[in-house]
Amino acid sequence: MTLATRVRDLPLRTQLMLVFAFLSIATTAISTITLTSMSEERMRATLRDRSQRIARRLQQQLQPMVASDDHVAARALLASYAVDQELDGIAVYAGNGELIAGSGIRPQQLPSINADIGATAGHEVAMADIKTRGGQEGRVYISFSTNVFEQMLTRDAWIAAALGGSVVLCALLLAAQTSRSIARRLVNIADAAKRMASGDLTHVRLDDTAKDEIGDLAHSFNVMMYELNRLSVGQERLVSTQRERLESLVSQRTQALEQSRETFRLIAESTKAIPFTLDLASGAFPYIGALAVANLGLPESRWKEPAMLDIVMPAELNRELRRCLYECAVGPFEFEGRLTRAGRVSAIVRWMGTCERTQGGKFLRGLMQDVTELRGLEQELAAAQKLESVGRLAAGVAHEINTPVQFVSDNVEFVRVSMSDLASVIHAHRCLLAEVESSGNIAAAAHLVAGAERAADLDYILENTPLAIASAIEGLKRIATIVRSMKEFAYPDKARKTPADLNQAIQSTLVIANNEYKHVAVLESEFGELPPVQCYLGEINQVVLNLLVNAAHSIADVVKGTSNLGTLTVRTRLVGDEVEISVGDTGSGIPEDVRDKIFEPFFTTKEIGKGTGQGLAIAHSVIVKKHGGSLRFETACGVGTTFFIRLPVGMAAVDLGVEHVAA
Amino acid sequence: MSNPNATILLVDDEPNITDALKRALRREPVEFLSATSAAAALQLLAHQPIDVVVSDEQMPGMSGSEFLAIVRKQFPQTIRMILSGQASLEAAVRAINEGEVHRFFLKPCNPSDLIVTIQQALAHKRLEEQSRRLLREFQRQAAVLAKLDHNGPDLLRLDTDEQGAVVVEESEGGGDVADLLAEIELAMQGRRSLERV
Repeated sequence: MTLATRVRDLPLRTQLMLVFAFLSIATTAISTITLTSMSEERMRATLRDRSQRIARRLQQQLQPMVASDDHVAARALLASYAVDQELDGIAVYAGNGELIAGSGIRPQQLPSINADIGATAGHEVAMADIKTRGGQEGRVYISFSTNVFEQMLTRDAWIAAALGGSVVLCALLLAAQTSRSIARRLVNIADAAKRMASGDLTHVRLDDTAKDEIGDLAHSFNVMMYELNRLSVGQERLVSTQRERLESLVSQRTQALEQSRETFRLIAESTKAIPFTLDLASGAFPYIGALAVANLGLPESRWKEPAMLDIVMPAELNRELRRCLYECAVGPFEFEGRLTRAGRVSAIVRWMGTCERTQGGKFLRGLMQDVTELRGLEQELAAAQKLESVGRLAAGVAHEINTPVQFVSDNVEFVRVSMSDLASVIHAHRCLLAEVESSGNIAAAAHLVAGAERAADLDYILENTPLAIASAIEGLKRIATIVRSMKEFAYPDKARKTPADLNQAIQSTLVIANNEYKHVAVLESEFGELPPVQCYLGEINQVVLNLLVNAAHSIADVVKGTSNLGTLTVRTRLVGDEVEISVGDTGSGIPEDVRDKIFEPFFTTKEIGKGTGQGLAIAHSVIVKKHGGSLRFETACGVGTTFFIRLPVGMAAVDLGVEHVAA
Repeated sequence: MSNPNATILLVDDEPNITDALKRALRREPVEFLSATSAAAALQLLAHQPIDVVVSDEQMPGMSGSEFLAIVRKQFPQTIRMILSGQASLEAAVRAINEGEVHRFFLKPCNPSDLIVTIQQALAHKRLEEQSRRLLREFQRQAAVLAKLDHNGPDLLRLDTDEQGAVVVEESEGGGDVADLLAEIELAMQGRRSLERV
């Protein structure tokens, strides 16, 4: 560490003091020495000057005396000079160096007339030649003591030193004072700066009355402080305003968010569908709609506990449903299942939402909806559609029944009336018999018999009675067939599929629909050997009927107003493990622009009131969705259309949801 | 069966119906004919006079109401009736508007109801024919009287008795009027007897 660095680390005040001390001491020392040496020089010069002046005056005064060798006078003269105390030596030497007169300190003899004695310590020596016409005759020697002069010089030096010392002292005091005040003011500023740096902006006004630099600095500092304070206050106000705004904004937003959350919750929970989140790993419901909470009467906190799934959906009662839940793939899901709980509560529930897999396990989020009523209504709708088609057929079927009823009753009436006619004939015959037995009037009796027979028109009766009875029996058979077909057609739907003879069912349906097509088409049927088919027979009948009625209508549109008859073709056959039923017509075919719409609900080409547009939509739903079969058609404009139904013979793999019936 | 007073044509694509009706109504004094289609029925109509046609509505080829509309145009004197197994309002409206049918029967129908209605219709028809005939006769006679009055004004002066009744004297020129009055009396009796039925 250099000296400069060391000095720089000292307090400012000390630095100042050191500088002041150094400067004042140096100045004082230099000035004292200079003064002293100058003063000595001047005094020495003065002394030399004086001694030379005295020497010259003595030279003049002594010249005659030397010339005359008047030593006494010389002595006296010299003695008069000797009163001067500073003049500690005076002498006159003869030309040969011999001392003529002298007192005080003087050499006894000059080595030579021209010898220069020079200065000796403590003495100032001056010499002057005394010249006469004869040449040099002697020399004057004067020696001044420098003691007084040196004493004065020493005193002066001391005075100077003392003055210098006092000046240094004063300077140091002053310096100390000044440095202290400067340092104090700087320290004040530094302190204020430090306070400011530490964030304390309380406005402490520094003393800036002085007009010096520190005063300026203090003033500038004050100005800065003031500005800073002003800015900081402004800033603070701004910050606080902003903060308030921000806070109010945050609270507003929070409130809005809360409100929106509440709205969404209310919306989500306002329907009968129950929003839920299911943690499959633990079986807990981290979120469950209020409705479920209310319905089951379990507090919401219970739902969040593990294994809640086992309580609301006991595994042994809901195997299918649990399988669906656990096998649910990541992504959107939608399935339906029967939810059974202890206490025999059972409902068809529709589950839809999204399945997510996270590190924590598998989560199902979405809605569960009780669709028991809906499914019930759907079944009712299907039943209603069936009733509708039966109703539409009812007029035709009524005709089919009323016609045989008409002739059966007419024939029976004939037989009834004929019986009374026969009775009178028989009575006549019995009378004849009695007459024959009693040998009475046989001829009269025979005449009566003939009359009775004529009256009864016996030949007609005998001829027509068997015909009437045969006709009545035929009519009754027809009625029986129709009634049986109706019953078979309206086969009550079971909850599950049952094996059915489709050929028999289709024949019955043909009987029901007979009146729809018999006036417009000839039926060509071909029933192949079919195994029993697992199906909902009532619904299959419905589908076949819809196709038959459509075919009949299509043919009717073509043959209308002519006496031509179209052809209605119904075939069944076994193809692999599927049964194919085809219903073909010789109608106008399906126009190309509606071919992809015919299976849509409410699509109909029939005039208003003749069709609801549900027939083929329901047919498609029944064949494809419920039976896992297929329904397709081939059509050519002007040639006709054939629909092909294919049904798997065995247990259908696809079924509506998971109609699981607990054993 | 002897001496039938009317000919009735039954049209139905179901022969059982016509046969059975014939059997049930064999005692009635009418003659039954039958046809299994509208075309066959029209042929029969063209060959012989037929008083009443009873047709089914739903038949192949031509419906009953269409058939009866043709009958109405070609044989307006023939009484037309429908015996249908299908109570379709559309068919009924068509039958009434186009065929102007006399009755619309629904199967099953009691044959005695059918025959009574047919008899009534026949009586009505006969009455109409009679009144038409009488009207024609009356008009003819009125014309004769007008001519007589013109030729000899005194010929037709009527004598009245004290009650104001016309006194008809047996004279050469009064026979026609007496005949007319007798016929009117007969017609009135006929109507009364029909109303009783």
